[in-house]
Amino acid sequence: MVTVKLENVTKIFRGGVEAVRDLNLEVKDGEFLVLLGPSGCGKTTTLLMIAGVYKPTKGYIYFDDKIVNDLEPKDRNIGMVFQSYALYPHMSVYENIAFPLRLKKLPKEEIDKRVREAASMLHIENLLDRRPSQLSGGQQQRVALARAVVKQPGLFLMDEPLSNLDAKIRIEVRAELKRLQRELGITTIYVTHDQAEAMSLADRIAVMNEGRLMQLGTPDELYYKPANTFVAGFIGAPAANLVEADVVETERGLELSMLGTRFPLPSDLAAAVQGVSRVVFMVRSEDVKISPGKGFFVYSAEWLGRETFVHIQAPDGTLLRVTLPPGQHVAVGEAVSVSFDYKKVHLYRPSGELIV
Amino acid sequence: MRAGKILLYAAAVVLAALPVVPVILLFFLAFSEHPIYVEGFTLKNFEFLKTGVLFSDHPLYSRLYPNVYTVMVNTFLLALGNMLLVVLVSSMAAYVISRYSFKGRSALLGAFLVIHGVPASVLLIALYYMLKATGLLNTLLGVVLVKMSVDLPLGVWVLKGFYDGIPWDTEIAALVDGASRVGAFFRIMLPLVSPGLFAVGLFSFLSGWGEYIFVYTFIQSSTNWTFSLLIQSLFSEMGGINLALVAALSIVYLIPVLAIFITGEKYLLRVTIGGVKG
Repeated sequence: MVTVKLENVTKIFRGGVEAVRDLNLEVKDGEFLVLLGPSGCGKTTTLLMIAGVYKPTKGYIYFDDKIVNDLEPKDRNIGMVFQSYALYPHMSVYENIAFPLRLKKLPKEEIDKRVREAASMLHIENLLDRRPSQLSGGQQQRVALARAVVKQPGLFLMDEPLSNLDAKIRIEVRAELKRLQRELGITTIYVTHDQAEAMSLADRIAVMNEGRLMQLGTPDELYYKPANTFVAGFIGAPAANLVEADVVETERGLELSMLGTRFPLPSDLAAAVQGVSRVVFMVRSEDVKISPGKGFFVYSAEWLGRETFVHIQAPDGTLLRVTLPPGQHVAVGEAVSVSFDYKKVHLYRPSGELIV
Repeated sequence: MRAGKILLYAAAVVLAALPVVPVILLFFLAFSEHPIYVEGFTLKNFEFLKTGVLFSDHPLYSRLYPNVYTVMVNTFLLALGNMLLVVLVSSMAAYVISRYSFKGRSALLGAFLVIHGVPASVLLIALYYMLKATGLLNTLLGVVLVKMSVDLPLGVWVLKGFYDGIPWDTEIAALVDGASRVGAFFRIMLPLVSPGLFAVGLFSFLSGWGEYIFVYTFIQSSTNWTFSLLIQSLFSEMGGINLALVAALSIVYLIPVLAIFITGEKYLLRVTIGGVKG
């Protein structure tokens, strides 16, 4: 298949809007890479530059070792899937899938064979005579996938392909998609704003915000070692707690003054923040422990079946998100005290970079 | 309460009947024995259909008027030419205006609206000189070109709306699937705006079919006349007014219009309801 490399890619639209800035990214052969970020972060622009619909203002895009900046979309051998499915409404399902092959001027029997192959791969053989308007969303997206697969592309580009589907179908098509990508081994770049989807599909995730790459890593790395407060806040559900804190020196050592109270820092963390006066303290909801005590109050509690998700109100009024392990229960209004699993805590500079 | 309702319905019936009255009158007059009043029933007013010669029993008059079939062909050529040119130009112009951003795009759109609002008769003198200079005066082609440029802005506006309604994704999909920009236009975009093409084509055909003022101004020799001109000349210039004959010609003039509306109604309704929908 194909390796994709982006080198210092910048896209500035007419009118001066900078959609993507200095993006460097390498997608390995056969890899499933997810571009993740909130809307307007430049992920779709990046995808369309790779597709050849937009030209980068600066920088280079490589397919293997070849610069493709000026290559037309039709000559890039890519298969693309859209959130809106983008099927051709005036053609039957069969015609839709056959369209890329017709453009390649393949012989009729070859087209027929490959259309039927692709259709059976996606279990839509019985829909070939229908019009797109007669299909459900899930079926339409399968047709779109078949259309992308049929031309045997070197690269898949997917722009939020699951966002228009309802929850149950989404999980079904998601599994299908992953299976298809594994079987065919096609390099895939997948755009989404849904971090759960990204975590479940990706080999690696590139988190973007405001046109810039915030972090590139495996789902594990992003979850356990977020490189900055943006990634820390974006990855994971429920979202991690990010609390601003002052570092205070006392006779017992360094302490964090936050949430209207003080927490002594363990020695390894204390060594890392030596000389820093303000930090952002990050802890995931499952790494907060609560026990009967005083100072904090249970603000709300939602039982989710296996675990309980609670909001704890700190003395200064801030709400902390906490996930209780199975078996532990609290009552709303109960007074509790709070401790953290410091091995999993991260500290950031107020500007967002990771300290430890 | 009840009386009010009856009054309301009566008013509605009267209002609905008003547009029908002239058509009915026209119809009866065309089959009338008397040249001015509706009286009796005869087919003699349609005798010109046999040879196309008007006033065949009156050699002096008959030489003054062109053959009706020539007139019919002329009218048809004007309408068809206008339709083809408007559809051809507006389908491409509207695509570019809808999809590309270029300097002066909004100025161009605004200009279209203004130009569409200018009464055509204001331009008659200028157009006359232009046609004279290009040697197109007194030709059907000249009239077709003028008519086309007057009808074009509306066609572009209508079709731009249709193109705007097609999502970008559909076009990008075609490009990625291996089509060139031009290929995507012909294979995907054009078929998707076909209801719009149909509407614009129909309206410009009818507008060409009914055109009067440009023909009247730019055409002199009677072999290039169209129906509207023929009817007008029968009606006003020559002595011996024969309203029944005018009515008979009008019926012939109307038939294609009715035929088009009856066959095209289905498509036209779809246009107003939905535009493009998958």
